[in-house]
Amino acid sequence: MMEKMIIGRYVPADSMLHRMDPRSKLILVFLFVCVIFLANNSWTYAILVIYTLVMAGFSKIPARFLIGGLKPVLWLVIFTFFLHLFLTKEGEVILDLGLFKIYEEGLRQGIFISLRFFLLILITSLLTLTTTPIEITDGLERLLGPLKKVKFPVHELALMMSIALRFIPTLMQETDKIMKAQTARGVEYSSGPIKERLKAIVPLLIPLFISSFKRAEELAVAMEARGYRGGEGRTKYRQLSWSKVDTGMLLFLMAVTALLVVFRG
Amino acid sequence: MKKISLVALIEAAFFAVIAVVLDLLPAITIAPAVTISFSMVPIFILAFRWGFRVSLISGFLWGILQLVTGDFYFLSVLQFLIEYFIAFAFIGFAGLFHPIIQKSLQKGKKLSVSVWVVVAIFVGSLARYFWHFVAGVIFWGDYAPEGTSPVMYSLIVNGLAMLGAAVLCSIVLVILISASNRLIMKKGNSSLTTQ
Repeated sequence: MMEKMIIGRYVPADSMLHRMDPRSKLILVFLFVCVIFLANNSWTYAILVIYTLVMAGFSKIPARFLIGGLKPVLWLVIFTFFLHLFLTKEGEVILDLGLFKIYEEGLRQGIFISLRFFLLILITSLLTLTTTPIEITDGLERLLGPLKKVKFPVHELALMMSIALRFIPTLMQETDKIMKAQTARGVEYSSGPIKERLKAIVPLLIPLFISSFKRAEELAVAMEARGYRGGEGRTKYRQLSWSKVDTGMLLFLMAVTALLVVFRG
Repeated sequence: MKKISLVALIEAAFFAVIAVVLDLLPAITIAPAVTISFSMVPIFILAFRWGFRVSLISGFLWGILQLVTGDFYFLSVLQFLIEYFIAFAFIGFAGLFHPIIQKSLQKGKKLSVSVWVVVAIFVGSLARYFWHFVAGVIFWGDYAPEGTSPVMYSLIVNGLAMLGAAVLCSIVLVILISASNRLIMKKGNSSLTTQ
């Protein structure tokens, strides 16, 4: 199951992107997601592709990791491409297949939209490949800090987020273990009639839920025994520090944005 | 506003994770291309155990975890916010029935517990899929087969998914709760609340 996840894929390395502050990386990804919609012709898309490749270069992550992360969504990119290819009916006909006609505009749209999709996924996976989940949570907590003023439970959410991330592998293993135990007793999970499979869910869920309740209670006791009292006045072991590289990267993206505005048609 | 206890927060985090894990299991396929999943079950359990706020947070967290696990479709910023932050959090509306379910539970009325559980599940599912429907009309309209209006298309697709999920979750939860009602029964763990 674990191979389906992006989170387990943090690749430790000593690169510029790894050393950046998680806050600046989060801001960069957010801005990129907004900026990408500025692109509307070949020049602007070329700029975005170059930017993404430069960032991938900075990360020093071997290409096979990057491509490996893209595999699960590749079919969706391809699907998007064909959808726009066949369903757009504008511009001149460039290929007549009898049943389907491929229009110029369809080809353009297909390439642009699937490319946009591809770049978005590449940039977000660069974030998760170079930043540990804990760093992302810390960064988010600090960035969303101002929302505390409107009673938004930022600290609580950040705490739950780190607990959730920490326990994804544990609970997955637990599920796997229970499923194996029940399979050994003759329960079938992946085949059989619907009624049988519904019945199979119950002996999986009850032990899973009960053990989670127990684990939650133990964790709460352990935290309170160590003096956890919510976010007020809590100090951090990991300190975030904003460096020149972070400012530089933000300026770089702004320059790219300026180029996009100039070249967009 | 009373603070949510630490145990409730941790349980909410765990159950959001369980929802993610259940999503990865082989789904039940009724007809080709129509799969329904029971991954909302943990959030509903939480809703009946702790009430509206905890299930709201847990649903919200589940939405965020979908991003971390890479299981999402991105069309535009707004679609993203609606389908992953708002929709999932709205499952928490099932938690509005928490007081009445707890009351019936304490009185030992099994039938009325089951009835309210099913009602709550339908309300929660409706609240969630309403947003998927809205997103479907606005953002997925281009994907509708020719000759079908986006509204109809979205209504059919999301309506079927909603019905399937709600029915399946109801069956599973009614069985679960009658098999072991301590899943939603709270013990007196007031000693564990943080003030």
